[in-house]
Amino acid sequence: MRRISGLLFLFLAVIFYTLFLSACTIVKIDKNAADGDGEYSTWTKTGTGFQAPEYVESIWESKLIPIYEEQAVDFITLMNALQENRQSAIDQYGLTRQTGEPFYIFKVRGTARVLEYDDSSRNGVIRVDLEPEDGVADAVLQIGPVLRGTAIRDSVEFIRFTDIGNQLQFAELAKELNTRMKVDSIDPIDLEKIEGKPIMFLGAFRLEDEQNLEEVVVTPVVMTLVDETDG
Amino acid sequence: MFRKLIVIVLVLLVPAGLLFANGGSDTESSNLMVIITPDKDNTFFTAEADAAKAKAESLGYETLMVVHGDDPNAESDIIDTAISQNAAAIIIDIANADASPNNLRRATDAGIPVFCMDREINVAGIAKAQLISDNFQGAQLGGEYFVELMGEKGKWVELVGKESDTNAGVRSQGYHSIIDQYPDMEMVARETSNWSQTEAFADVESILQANPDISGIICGNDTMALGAQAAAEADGRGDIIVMGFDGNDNVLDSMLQGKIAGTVMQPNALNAEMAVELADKYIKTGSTGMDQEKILNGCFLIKPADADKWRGFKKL
Repeated sequence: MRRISGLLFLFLAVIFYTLFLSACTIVKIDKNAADGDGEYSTWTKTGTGFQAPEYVESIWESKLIPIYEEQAVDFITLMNALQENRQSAIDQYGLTRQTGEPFYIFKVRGTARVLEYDDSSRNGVIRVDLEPEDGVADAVLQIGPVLRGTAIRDSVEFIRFTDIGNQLQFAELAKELNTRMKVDSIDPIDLEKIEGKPIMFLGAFRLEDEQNLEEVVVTPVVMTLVDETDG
Repeated sequence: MFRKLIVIVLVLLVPAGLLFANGGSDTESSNLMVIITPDKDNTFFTAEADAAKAKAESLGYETLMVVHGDDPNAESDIIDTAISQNAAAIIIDIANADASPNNLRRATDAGIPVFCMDREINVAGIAKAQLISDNFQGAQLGGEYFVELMGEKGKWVELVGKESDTNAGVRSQGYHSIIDQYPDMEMVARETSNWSQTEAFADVESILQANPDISGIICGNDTMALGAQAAAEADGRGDIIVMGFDGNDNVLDSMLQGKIAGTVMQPNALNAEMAVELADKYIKTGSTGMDQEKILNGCFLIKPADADKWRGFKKL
């Protein structure tokens, strides 16, 4: 009997020990996850790791989209202004980013008809004819599945590198913003049937000093099909 | 009684602390900028050191140029030297992301402001400013161009830099963040060539024996790209697309000869000059005037057509 209770005690001790140890392990993993990913996660003023999806969720509807709704300029108006006097158009409509060589980010809006969906590259684009329609493409919008660049991230002043963390986290944020747009705006659209359809968009593009205006590719922030039956 | 003793000790300690603090700032502050870089043989780092030195001297400072050879212990000794010479500022491209913050903290504790260029430290509040090359963004630019040249498909090889260097990993992740989105791009080998031209040559030589059908090699820096391109050419495979990273003059020349396909220019001369300018401002006014510590300077994709527009990491 004593022997049995001794075994029982040992058994319970082992279970307790195992549970205790595994509890410790779980806590440790959780902590690592909260800190981001090891070696690059120690920066940030709060001392906690930066989590791009949570951050994007916290700003997308409440901060980012309202800024676009308020500040985005008509794409054709902007292109005409850039053609006429590049510097004054940059001063009036652009956000200048001083990171090495300066570049400029513009927030734009437009109503257009999709002339062509070009998926010859994984970085698929649509070419669109903005109002008033004349059958000629006025703008190129990238719609993926591969989305390039950091235009959305760089388009608003409240997102600053120094507040986000290191360059990996800053890049992750740009990607997460692009992904959010794709999930909200592109994924619901049947791209095989998009040619000929009217769309509305808010978007951003980056312009560098020696870049031709023909090379401009807009990254949508919001893109929706317009219901034509409404007229 | 015991409480009284504590109070007395505190009363004695506070002025002592003030005395020490004053001692630091009262000393005749020198006119010396200590400029610390990783290596004196690699043109990337010599260009960075030269740019910092020229800027510092143009602003009227004396300079002490030192290299740490990526060794945190050597870096630590250099910091001690800077402290003993009561340097006006330290301009540094750090040795190691993990060990360097502690070295730098000793300098700031001694009242010497520290300004980082090129490599970043992950601890806030030590450096007065960090002028960082956006290696991740640069690698993404290089990765996008590589994918474009490859026609979004084919077998490729990656040569990675020295593993102890944060930027080796950052660039690799930047490349993969782009290339891995293309399912027809197949990586058949990934080698660490330690930033070395000769190692890259040997690595590519043997990779080509096992994988004669590769069509691209993307490299973590330019010296490895030179080695990789030479090995490919020696094997009669001058057609292999080779991408570099840094923008060094030898690679720009190779691009002009139609050999290396492209590189990513780092703004390292700009980083160095900005670091010195901010140091000068801080010495004179007690503030850098910037509301952020980390300033990320973007890299540029250089295609062959633009290869003659840059030399010494600067736009001509």
